[in-house]
Amino acid sequence: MKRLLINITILVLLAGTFSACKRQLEENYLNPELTTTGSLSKLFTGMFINKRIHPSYWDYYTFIMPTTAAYTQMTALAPLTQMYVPSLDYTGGRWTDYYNGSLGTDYNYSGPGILNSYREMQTSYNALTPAQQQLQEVFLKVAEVVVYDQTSQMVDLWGDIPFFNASSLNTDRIVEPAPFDDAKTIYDTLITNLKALNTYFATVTLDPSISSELTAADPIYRGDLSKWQRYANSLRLRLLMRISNTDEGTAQAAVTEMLADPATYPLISDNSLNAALWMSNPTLRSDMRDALGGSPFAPSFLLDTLMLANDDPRTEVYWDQHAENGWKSFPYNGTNAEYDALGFATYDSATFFYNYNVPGVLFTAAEASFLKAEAFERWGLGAAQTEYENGINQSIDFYYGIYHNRVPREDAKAWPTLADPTAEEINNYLARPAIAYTGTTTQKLAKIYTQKWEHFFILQAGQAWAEYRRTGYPALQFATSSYSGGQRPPVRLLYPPIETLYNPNYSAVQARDTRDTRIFWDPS
Amino acid sequence: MQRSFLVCTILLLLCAFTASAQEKKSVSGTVLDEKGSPLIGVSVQEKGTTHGTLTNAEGKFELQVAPNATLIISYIGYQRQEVPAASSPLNIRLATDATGLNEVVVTAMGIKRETRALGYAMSTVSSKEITQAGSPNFASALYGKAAGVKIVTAPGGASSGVSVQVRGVSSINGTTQPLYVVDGVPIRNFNDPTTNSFGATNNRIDGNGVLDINPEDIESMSILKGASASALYGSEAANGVVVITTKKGSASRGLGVDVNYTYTLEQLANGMEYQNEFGPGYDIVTNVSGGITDRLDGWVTNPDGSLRPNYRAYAMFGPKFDGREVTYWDGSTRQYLAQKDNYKDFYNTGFNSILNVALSNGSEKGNYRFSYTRMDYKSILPGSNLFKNNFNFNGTLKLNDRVSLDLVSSYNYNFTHNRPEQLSNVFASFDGFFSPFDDMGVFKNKYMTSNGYKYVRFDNMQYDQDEKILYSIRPYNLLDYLWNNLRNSYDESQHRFINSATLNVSLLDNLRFRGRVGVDYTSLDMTTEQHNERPAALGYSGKYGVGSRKNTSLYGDALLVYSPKLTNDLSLTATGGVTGRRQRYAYQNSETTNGLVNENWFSLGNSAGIINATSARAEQLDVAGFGILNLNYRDFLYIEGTGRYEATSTLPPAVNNYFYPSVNAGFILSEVVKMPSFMDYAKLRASYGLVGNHPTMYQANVAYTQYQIAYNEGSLIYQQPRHDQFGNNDLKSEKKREIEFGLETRFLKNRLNVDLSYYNNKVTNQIMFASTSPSTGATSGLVNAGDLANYGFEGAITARPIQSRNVTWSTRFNFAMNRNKVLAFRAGISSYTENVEGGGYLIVRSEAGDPLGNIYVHPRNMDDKGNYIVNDAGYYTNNTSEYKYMGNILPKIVGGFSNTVSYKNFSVDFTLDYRFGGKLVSIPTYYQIGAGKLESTLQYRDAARGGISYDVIDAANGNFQANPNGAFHDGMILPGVTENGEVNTKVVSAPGYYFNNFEWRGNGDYSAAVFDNNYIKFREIVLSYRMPQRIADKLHFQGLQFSLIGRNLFYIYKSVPHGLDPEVAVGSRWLSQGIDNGTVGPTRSLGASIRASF
Repeated sequence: MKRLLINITILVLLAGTFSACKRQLEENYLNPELTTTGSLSKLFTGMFINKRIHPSYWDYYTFIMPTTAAYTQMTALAPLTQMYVPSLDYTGGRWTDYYNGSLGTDYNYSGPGILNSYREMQTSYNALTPAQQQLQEVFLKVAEVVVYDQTSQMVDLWGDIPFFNASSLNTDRIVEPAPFDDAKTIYDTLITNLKALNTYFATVTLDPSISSELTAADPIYRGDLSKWQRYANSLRLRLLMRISNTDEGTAQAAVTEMLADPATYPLISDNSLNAALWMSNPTLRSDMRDALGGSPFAPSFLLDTLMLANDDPRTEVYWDQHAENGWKSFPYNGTNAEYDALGFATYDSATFFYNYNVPGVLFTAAEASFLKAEAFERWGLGAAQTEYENGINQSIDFYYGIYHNRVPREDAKAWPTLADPTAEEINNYLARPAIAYTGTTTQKLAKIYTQKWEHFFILQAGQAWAEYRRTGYPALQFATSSYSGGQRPPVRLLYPPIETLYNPNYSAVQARDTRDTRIFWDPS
Repeated sequence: MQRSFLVCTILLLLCAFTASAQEKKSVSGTVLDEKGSPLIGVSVQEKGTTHGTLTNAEGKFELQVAPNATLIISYIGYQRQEVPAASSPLNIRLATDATGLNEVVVTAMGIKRETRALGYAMSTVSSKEITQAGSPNFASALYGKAAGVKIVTAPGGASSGVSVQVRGVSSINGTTQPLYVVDGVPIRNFNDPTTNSFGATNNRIDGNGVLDINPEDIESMSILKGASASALYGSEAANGVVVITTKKGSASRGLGVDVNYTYTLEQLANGMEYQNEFGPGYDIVTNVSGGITDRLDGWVTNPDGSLRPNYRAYAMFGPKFDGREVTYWDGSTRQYLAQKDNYKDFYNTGFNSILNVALSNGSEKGNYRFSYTRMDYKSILPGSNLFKNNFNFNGTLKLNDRVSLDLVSSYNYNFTHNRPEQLSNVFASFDGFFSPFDDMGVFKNKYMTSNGYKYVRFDNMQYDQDEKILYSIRPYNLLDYLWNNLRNSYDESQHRFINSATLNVSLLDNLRFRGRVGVDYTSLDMTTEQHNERPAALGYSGKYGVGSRKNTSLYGDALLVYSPKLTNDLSLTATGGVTGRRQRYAYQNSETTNGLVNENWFSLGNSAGIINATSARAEQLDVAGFGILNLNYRDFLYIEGTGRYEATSTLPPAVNNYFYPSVNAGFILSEVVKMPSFMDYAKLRASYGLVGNHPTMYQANVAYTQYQIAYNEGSLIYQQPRHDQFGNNDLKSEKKREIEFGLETRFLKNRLNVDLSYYNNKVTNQIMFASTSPSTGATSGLVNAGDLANYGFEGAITARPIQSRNVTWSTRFNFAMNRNKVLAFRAGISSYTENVEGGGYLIVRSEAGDPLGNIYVHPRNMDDKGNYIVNDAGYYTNNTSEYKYMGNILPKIVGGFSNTVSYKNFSVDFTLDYRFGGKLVSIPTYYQIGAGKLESTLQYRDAARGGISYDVIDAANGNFQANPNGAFHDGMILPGVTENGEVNTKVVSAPGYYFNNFEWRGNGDYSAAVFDNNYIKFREIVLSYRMPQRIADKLHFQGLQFSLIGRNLFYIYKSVPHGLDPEVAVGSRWLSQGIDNGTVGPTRSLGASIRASF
């Protein structure tokens, strides 16, 4: 009897210990530093911390300068045998940042991915009650604009990419390699959906609590949906013009509808409406000194032929003279010895090198104006010259705006203050034969394209490269590399091994994965 | 639930059982050795029970036993005897036993068992083998000493981690390191428990937890290899278990003092074979087309018309050394001659000094041992050193006949200054490539200016202009390395306490209780001090950081052992217990950002930017109940069954518990069957076991990180999903099932022993961070990706070929062969692929049916007849859409060969170890071929070495004309055809060939980065002289021994070329062990030791 009692006591104790253990085991499963509750607004905010959206050292140093800026001559290249063969590690980094990003708080190297943040938003959205879904839908909508912008940039670089079924880990929590989707289909979908977004932004009314949550979460427009509407429409205009050389009918019809009804389809028509992420020193800041330091010199076509020859008012804000050699640029076919001897004009110290507040540029008024100018010119929809000159004025204003908003690095010197160009100077510039909106349609279009190219500069070198491939302007000359199979810049990037090694669907696009396969919108 | 009920039932049964009381009688006796001297501390045990005692200082014992009891008398080093307790007092003489047959070894859960009773293979290593060669840690003393145990010590010296891998690879992605159990308590091996491998952090070579176990305190070590041997450790046992027992005091010896001192010099053992004929420079085409120099001889013209080599070149295709006077980049004028073997000047001569003092005593009331060890170590790497203080106490207190308490306590303090940094930035990056003309002394002088700032580049116009580097040079990474390690410091100071208390209670004669608690606590402080690189007025630089890491592991177990007497032929022991372990981890780090405002003032308050603070914490709980049943039939058949029911917090709650059973049997054939006369002993073993490997804590979580950053007046709060290593809430534990057979035989009066094992295992549910394409949502995801199988043979042959009065020679040879195969993939994974050389130029890939570690590179483009196709420039090209197989990374056979030869008071111990099969991938070597640094690249560089003569028609476009009387003699025509199918006649220069054929990606032939890795290494030698006892006695020593020692001496044979070291790789993962990423040179140690006991 006594033994039985003892045994029962032991059993009860054991049972108690087991259930306590069970609870403790469950508690210890989750990392206390992480949360399992996804928030739509916080995932949306994360997209802006993506290091390809805001200017980061890594993006400039490993991707923009050696690839998009180099292939559009926004920077001068010292001749190297493999200068036209982009590093697959670096392009792979660009690829990965769109999908995954990387964890960490050194924003020169880390930041969330675009697509997996968006897919997690969708997953979190699906877990909400219908009432909550209706309230929070707006976060998905603004996120879509960002996703579509970034997705089109991926298509511009690579062509077909996994998109519609990508990010299975974020949706179904399983590994399911995604097929490569047809580039044109992706573009068409974006164009269709952006139109729907225009309607959504025009009609939606937000609950006040959601409205203030969006204001806090949105670093570019502070929750102003009318601006998001303009961004969505401007992006749609960009995409339509992009396809206009290979699918002119579709583009012309849609663009005509848009431009004919600016009240329904408002665009980014003023620099105050720009989609741009300004920095906030010291937590989020552009680190351009080191990023541009590897390739700092002014290329000759942009500096000499386009800017100096025409007294471009932007010259001083783009470039610094060399202390002894003045406005000396580096020729497209310069040699290593010349490069190593140094002594060239460089990017402007105050505006770029020593400025913590270079914005991440998504869409500017100048681009919208140039796109309109092109459409007006080609399809006779309006006064192309006005839009062309608007674009130039907005560009000048934009770059001087960066100069005025600059936040100097600690080691910045007290450079002489740069005066804003006067109206007279701008008018003189607009009257220059090479600038003035004169000549044949081809010549006029070339001027629009060239001005837009100059406006994109290093801040939107990816757009510059896409438009250079679409339009063929400006007519740049490139040094020929001795490297067999890489003598000229490519017309698209090769898929990075980080994708192709692990995605069995690669075999479907492998045959087209060459540096000479043109993107579907590239006519020539 | 069913299983927890089962465990409870077992425990209940154990509680309910009580031994029926029996009549007892007293038996006493004396145990003597062959010469009639009393033996102290001999175990006297009643057969079939755990009831027993030890002999006292006169060799006497007294014991209460059952009337017809048999006594088992056992003592290490003597043959076991069984004596009927018929008469009293007994007079027992034990014969010495060199066979080790009756050795008592410590098995899982700290349970001692006789070797003969084991049903599985186990390797034991003695204290002498661990300490005699002065190894700074016990694990790197194990090279070649245990069959099936592969040791890989990372280069860099005493602070570098040692990987131990038992029986091949059990886990593709999980840990491959065994569980270490010291005096019954599992100890921490990884610094960060949320990771499962070690390698390098911030390019500095990691240590691991085993480095803190002082070799001098180890009494013995058992390595449990198979699943059955280790099944009681369940999910931590898939990679084997290393069971360490520390030294105790002994009653037999009384008060004893041991003093040991070891000193070795540490030197660079071997280095790469560099050419010493050509200075820095590129090939003609690169020089001229890139506008580097117009001169076809490669000299660069200074503004004053004088000539200099191209110091900026990373390749070594410049002008031949001819002794002319040139200006060096430090401004001095020098003769243009090679600084032969200049890489050797980079390294230091280091040392290792170990002093150990131990005090021990014992009596019937208990015993203790106290030991202190001081180690000072200076690495061969510039700026790296460390010291350790280690205190260890091990005591046993016998409270009464039935209760005893063991206390083990160790405290270890380590200070590590500038943990050795890998040289990947020097050897695997073109920006570290120094030339044979470079003077290492100048680098060591120039890395810092006289004002304490960083070296001044040629294009730096800012400070210390008179100390400026004159020209654009290449090896800035080498200067950075010196700056980092000689000027800056990264210090770690670590306190580690390992304590345990064990209570043994004999509740009844046949029922014993043991309870144990142990704590392993580590506190590590890290300090980073990076000096200002330039005057603060020119921009802030430098950094100060302070961090800490705390690891706590709390362990407890309790068990009951019940040994009822069944029949005379059959005895049984039943054991039941519970065990639990809680691991906690806390990390925090704060550092300055954007530089230091006041130069070289190391304080967080001096930060130019906002202080960056990070922290992490983690907690893991594992609990288990277990039971063991041992049966012994007439001392020739031993059967053991074990079961462990376990739950862990690292798995999702729904699937976090598992049952791990095992069974094994030992059958002593020679006791049953009449053996031939030359055969003394034969035993068969068979076992089956199931063990697990669960994920590292938190890996399975699917969760978001949340960050907040100040933005304008407010802040942005954002969430981020994982970008890699995506979690999985449906994850299951890896399960390893292993079956093992073994044969143990002894011949020729125990002078030849052979022990063979065969095992076959299958590891299912391989937990893997499978590399996935980014478009899947992350670059890797945690999945149960498939199944892996291993089988292998292990063998050990021990022999004493010579055994005479004055001379003995004993020799031990062991080998282990392991083969593995990936059986299947699941969960959306079709292969296991590692992109070793980014860009996919060299990958390691296994598909279902392949072994792990198959290496592939792109093949050359060939026509359908198998001719290489050359491009317009005359070089071969890659077919980047295909891969060709280059071999496998894993070794086929590893083992060792140890010998002891003694002559009177002299003895020589030496150990060789070997590895055959498998490849080493060395990308740095590949780039050094392409840069013409290696001696092998002299081929074709002149007529005497096969170069053909030609004239340069157009240098920029590589138009060369073959001409027997041409001006250049380093031409080549690559055998092959043009794209049109014509025979190639294009002349290229040899430098151009190396430069292009082994270039970075592009058309680089990465098959040149894969080498056969076979070697036989002379690992250690110890030459000892033991002072004759009569002299020692006069000097009042119990023993005195002098030794000369050498470790990591040389390779008797190695297959890797170019002077590359076969053991260059860093890291505990099986894959990283086959890949050289540019680590540090290997260390050789030579020195002496003295061991004295009083």
